[in-house]
Amino acid sequence: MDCIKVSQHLHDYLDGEVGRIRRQGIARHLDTCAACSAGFRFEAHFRQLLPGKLHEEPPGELRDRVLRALGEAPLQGDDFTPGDPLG
Amino acid sequence: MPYMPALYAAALRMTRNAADAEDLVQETFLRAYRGFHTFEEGTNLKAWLYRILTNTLISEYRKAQRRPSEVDAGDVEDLYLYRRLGSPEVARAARSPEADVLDRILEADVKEALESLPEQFRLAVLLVDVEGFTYKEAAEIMDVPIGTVMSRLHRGRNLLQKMLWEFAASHGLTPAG
Repeated sequence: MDCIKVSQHLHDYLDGEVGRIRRQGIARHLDTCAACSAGFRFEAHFRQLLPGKLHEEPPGELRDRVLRALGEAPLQGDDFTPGDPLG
Repeated sequence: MPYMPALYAAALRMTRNAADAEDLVQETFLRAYRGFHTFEEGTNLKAWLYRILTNTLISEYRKAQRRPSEVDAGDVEDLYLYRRLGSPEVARAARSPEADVLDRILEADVKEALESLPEQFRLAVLLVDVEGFTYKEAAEIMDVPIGTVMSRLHRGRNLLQKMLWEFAASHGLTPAG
């Protein structure tokens, strides 16, 4: 496997979304190629940071606003338990 | 209220405005509440809620939304950030390992970079890289084939890195030029 092919599939590899043969090929390449290995570590670090950088605190009143709207919503069928899944 | 903060964060990135994001979250929970009899116990509630969010986004908000220009995806090389931040010259100039530069990238830059992506790329990156859905789950949420998800992810991720590079550069986090 060459560096270009590896870089194309690096994220999929990180996600565990490559097939076994390709995964083994990438792992072998990363074992022997310092540049790709460094690139892999960089991408892994970037991916790890991403969710934290996108954190949002919802407005305080949003939950109450939604609960109020749900309270006013007509029920769908007798067997539905409002308190259960959305409590 | 399950996953409400995460749904709000996703709604904010997709609508790009807080009022619309709140409306979208409220509408999502209303639809989930009304349709809960269709939810199969033991299946993935988070994916189900995100599917409703995505459908609501498409049906309610795409029409009405202000659409500031989205960046043209073009063809961005793989490992875009690494090739710029990871080079020995940059590390020396920054006087810190490339990881430090990553850490110092501002939340505002990341949010702005993500919001500049074309909508479908943005959603794919949100679902997989931020919310942790598998490619299969993301495909079901977006109602597209897995190959389409992979293509949007590939281009979306590379474009995100390119936009981040440009925002970081404008804040002096990287050496000029």
